[in-house]
Amino acid sequence: MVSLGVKAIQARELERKYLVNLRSLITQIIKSNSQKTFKESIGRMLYSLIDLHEKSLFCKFVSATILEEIIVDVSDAGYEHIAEKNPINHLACSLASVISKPIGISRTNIHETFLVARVLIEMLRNHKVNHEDILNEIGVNFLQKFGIEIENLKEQKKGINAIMKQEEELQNDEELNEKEELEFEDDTNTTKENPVEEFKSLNDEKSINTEPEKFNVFDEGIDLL
Amino acid sequence: MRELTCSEKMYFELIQNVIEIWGLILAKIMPEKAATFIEELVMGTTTQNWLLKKETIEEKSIGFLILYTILENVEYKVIPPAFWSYTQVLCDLTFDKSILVRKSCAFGLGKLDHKAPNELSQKGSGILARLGDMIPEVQNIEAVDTTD
Repeated sequence: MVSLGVKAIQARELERKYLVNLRSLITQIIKSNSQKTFKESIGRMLYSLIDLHEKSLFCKFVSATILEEIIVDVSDAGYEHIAEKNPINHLACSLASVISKPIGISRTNIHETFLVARVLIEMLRNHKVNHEDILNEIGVNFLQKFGIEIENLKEQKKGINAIMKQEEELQNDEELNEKEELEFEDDTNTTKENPVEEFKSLNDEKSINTEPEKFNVFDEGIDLL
Repeated sequence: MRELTCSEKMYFELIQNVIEIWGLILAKIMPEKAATFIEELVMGTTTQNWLLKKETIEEKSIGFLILYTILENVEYKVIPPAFWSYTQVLCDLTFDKSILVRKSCAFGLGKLDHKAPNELSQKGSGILARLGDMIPEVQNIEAVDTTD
């Protein structure tokens, strides 16, 4: 998951406040006025919300949640005449297109996508939308894509595990080498520090080397025969 | 059972949500379109892969969820006849090594019986006998389930 910087968090917070204010404004207008003129201005505001909604996944989620709350408060049935296209349907299709995008490289935040899916479920349950439009946005073969993505994730995980194992082995080898080197250094250090011992061992080596090598015929008998 | 990482868990929850969305859509679209959709989704290799070729219970559960969603949201007359071949698949999977898979199969067969009792009865008393055999297995679920 991508971590956000301080500026990005502040920008999100501003967007969130703006959206919340817009939401309360729209709700108040809807509740206090039912005249057509106001409905038209509400329609425009809803569209400005949708424009914002197109900006980023975060805006999508927040604006969808807000629109969802607004429309729960007031029936959307009377708003179909406001614009050529029902804003709720437009929004639902937009959410569906978010879900249909491939997971992995382009979709970095599963958590937000999951929330978008939850909002879409609520919209499908509570509002008039064109289900076929949404099905087209999600796509018939989406589960197949999911299957492939899961396989890819598994392979990636296997790859990461293999790399981690290799790195661990390399690290262990390095540690062992370092240990051996240290032990070797210790050995050489001790001999240098104890010249008497060094002399003794040299003498021992000499005594071993000076002994004549015995050749046992019976050991090599087969070859000789 | 193997523990899922946080992102894996979220991923599977997302798939479950998408299937829920599909269910809601399937219930509302034109019957012919729903039939075509089921034909492509279920009778192609997708659902079979999720049920039969995937290794983990989480993956297999996606296959079960697809079947349950269709049984819950689509009318009997809209479901293509080939769909009922899954009765045998579910029955075969009641012998799976995982008790959770066996349990899901029993649940699926129950749903299938509710939706299309004739389809299940055509398979004879074998399935019923198998479900009967499974009762003590399910009762011992806590003690037995070390397979996953």
